[in-house]
Amino acid sequence: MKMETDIAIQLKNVFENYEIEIKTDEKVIRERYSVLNDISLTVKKGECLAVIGANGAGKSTILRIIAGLLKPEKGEVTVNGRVGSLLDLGAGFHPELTGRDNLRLNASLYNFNRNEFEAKYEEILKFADIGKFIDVPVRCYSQGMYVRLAFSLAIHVDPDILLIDDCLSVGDDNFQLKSMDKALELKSKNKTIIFVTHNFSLARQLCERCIYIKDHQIVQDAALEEVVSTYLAPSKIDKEQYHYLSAKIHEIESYEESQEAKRQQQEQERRRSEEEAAFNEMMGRRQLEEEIFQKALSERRKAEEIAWGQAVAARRAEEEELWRNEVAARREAERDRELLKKNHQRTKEVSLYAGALKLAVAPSQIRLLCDHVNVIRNAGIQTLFLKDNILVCSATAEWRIKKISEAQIACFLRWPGLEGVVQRWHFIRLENGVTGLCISMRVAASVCIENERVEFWPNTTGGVLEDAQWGNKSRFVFLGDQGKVQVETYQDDCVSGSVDQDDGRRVPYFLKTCADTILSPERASYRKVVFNGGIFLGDKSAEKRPMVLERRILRSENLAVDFQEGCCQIILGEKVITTGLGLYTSVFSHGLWRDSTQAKWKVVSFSGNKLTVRGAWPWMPVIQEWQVEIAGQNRILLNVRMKILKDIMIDMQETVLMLPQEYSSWSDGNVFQRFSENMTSDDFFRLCSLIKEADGSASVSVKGEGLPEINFKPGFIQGHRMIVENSAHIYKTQARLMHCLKGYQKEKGSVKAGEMDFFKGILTINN
Amino acid sequence: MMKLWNSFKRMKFCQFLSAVAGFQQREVLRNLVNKNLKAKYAGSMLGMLWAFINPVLLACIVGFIFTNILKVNTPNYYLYILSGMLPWTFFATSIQEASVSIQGHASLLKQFPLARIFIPVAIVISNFILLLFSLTILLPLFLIVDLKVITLLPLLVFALIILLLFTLGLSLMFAAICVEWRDVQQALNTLLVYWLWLTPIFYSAQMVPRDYKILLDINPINFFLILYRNSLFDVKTPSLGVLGIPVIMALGALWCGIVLFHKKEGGFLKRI
Repeated sequence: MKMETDIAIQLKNVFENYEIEIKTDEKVIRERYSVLNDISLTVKKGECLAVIGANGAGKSTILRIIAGLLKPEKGEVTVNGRVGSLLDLGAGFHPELTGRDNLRLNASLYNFNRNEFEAKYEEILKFADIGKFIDVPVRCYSQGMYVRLAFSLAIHVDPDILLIDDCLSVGDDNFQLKSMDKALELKSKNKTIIFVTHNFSLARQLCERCIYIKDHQIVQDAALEEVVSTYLAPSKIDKEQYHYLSAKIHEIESYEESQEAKRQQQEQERRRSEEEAAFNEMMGRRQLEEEIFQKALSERRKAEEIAWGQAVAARRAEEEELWRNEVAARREAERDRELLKKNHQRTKEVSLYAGALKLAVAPSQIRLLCDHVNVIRNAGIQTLFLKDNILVCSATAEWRIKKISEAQIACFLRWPGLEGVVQRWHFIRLENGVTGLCISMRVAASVCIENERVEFWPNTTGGVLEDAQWGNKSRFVFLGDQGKVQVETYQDDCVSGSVDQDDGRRVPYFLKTCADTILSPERASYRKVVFNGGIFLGDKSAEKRPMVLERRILRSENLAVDFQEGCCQIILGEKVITTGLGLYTSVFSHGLWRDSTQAKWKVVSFSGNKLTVRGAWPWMPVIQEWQVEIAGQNRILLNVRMKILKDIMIDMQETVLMLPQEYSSWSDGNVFQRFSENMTSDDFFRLCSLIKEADGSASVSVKGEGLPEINFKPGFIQGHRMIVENSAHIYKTQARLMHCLKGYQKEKGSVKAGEMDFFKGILTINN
Repeated sequence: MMKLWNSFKRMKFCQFLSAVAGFQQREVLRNLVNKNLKAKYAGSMLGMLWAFINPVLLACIVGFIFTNILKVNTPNYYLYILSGMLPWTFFATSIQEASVSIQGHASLLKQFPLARIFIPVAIVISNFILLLFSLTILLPLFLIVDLKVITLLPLLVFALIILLLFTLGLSLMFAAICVEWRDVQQALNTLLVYWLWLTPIFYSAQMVPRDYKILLDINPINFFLILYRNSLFDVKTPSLGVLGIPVIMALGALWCGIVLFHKKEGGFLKRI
């Protein structure tokens, strides 16, 4: 009977039982324990198979059966070819013998005769790379050396089938890479590899197929990615475990608290001794200063005699020297920082797997790896907030990282000099390969904290594909080399946006600002949730939120207004004549502009040429109601009323029309001017053209070649100013902005609750 | 005829023999023996010499006590003890080491699908090599006392071979049993001390009172020792019965050992 030649391993309905003794205090019970339950598996030659599953599922038993170490209780096993294996960490070495003697014995056990062995000996040694240790008894070896030597032999015996039982993870990075190379080489020679592992990134490099063993059965046999995602998905956080985890977190927290108290006490003692030292130092300094003063007085005359030119030359040389020193020092510091960072990564990183993403957390550095490629750069994820108008950043914090379980990591951030403020970052693996991230803060005493911001630094050439500026308010997507990476919040009161970096790349952030920014201590739990959201790969969304876009188009003959989520685009014929946000409103509060596009909008009424919408700002107690109407052939009426629900701080408010850069000149009836083309941010005030306070009669027109003339005429409102501006210094794109702005300096920014007119005006489009 | 041949082939013993006959398997066995010898004396300066020194030292102290304190006056008493001591050491050490061999090689067994029988076999063989080694050193002593020993060398070789087979059989039995019943392992140490004192090594069979002679007759190792004594010390040709009984015992023990070992070996990996 001839075997089918392309099958390397075949298991047919294999059963295996162990007999275990359960020893309680009273009695000993013998029990049959099933380790393999009806396993059938066919592996073709040249195939690489990963085997995953929880501890004790029966993975190793399968390998042992394939290796011929165990005979199955029932079922058939066919194995064609020489088997090389690395099944046991001890690797069959006798501790008293040298590496060389052990190799010789093991080689013969691989059916490798002496001549073959001597021929390959050098090669094996070179691959194992353990140097002179080869002639040292193996009891002196580290675990890594054991595995290096054993694996080196296993792949050099020219096996047709290679079995690896998760031992490789003992080796260092370098060796793992080397081993992977060798394994890939074997694979290219049409050899079969079976790989039991918990390290999916290694498996990913090697295997396409994967079986998942659960409770002694094969539950899935499919492509690797698919299996990995089901393996990770069952989100083993069932209820019991969840309680356990939350208890654990609580434990850590109380431990942190006791540590905190201890630290504070130490801090006090330190401060007292410091004060003493400072006082002594001050006395000493005063004496010194007096001496210096006397000396300076006598030397002053001499100094005056030195020629002016000489002084200049000297200073220049000095400056040059300083500059050079500084450059050198900066470089050194850079290098040190790099080194430190590397060390940090080696020693302190803990990681979490969620789907195809690996999240690695180290102090001030979060890495999100997809196939070893970091999709976020620099610090990765960072939080910033203002405390008493001083910017505090997570990069300056002291990090304490705890891995709570395979599914959870908690980080506690404290800032030196910022007593009693604790930020907790809590990463958790959720279903569907989503990494949940919840950042929350707690304070020991009442403190004013504003503008918490969470920044994500995408490491991408593809740029940010989508962010909150258009439509969906709390999600952004950026394109890494491995596909789309999405970050989204599950909060309503978070706004996303992005800032441009010097290198032209954008950093998306989530911002949370509240009118009520005083945080007061309440011991119960973390007081304030800064960010609550998820990070994941691909298009799927963790929580399918219906994306309701409030969009209406008003039309009258060939003029149309397209209202969408807080901004209006004006369309003439087929052409959109506005750009960017078009016509929108904005309120400046607590140091930030909050545009109408960030609010939630709802259509109140809509007829062909008249639209009433109401929008609520998610993070401040403000509601605006817009009435947009197309009157006649070329006029757009805009009437905005604002309702303030609670006293808040507003510094400025404005209504803006954003136009493309083709508009080249403007006029207010008396003055006729062109927009300046070259602008830097220094020119801001010079080139912002303030037009006299609108008293009901002011209006501004803009003109451009091939474009309709637009006349912007605010209505009755007193205390407003018109500003015409080239926006190049704010946005990277050139645009023309026409503001109708009101400042509240006189009232010191505090606005009482109530209803008020925000804006009333007419836009005339003359074709 | 074919059927007969097949049934013969199926017999475990034959499988074992054919395995040993295979070149590759011989290499494995040789390496295992080599490993045992190296590992046993790893790190000691005198190395294999200890296999010879230990029984000699023991013979010295026992000889001293028996001649000077208990006043036994057998001629060449030290040599008498040695002629029994050497085969006994081989026998006892082999059994003792074999009984823990399966657990001791757990790592190897979990890594390689080698024939498990090789492990106790390798232990017995390595101990046998040590016996040959110490005999070679001590043989001149016996020759000095009585040159006629040289004529009985074939008898010595015969005695060595059947003792080897007998030891092999018992070692296999204990190796197999001790994996499952660890108590046997514990009892074995004491058992071997009892056995040592109930065997006429320090005293001669003639000294044993008639009432207790039965103890000698049921002691299997005694039959083997008689052969050694005859060839090395007494220098006399034994009768056919004295030659035959140990042969039958050796083959019987070997047969039982192999059958028992094969019956148990499937479960080894689950128990270590």
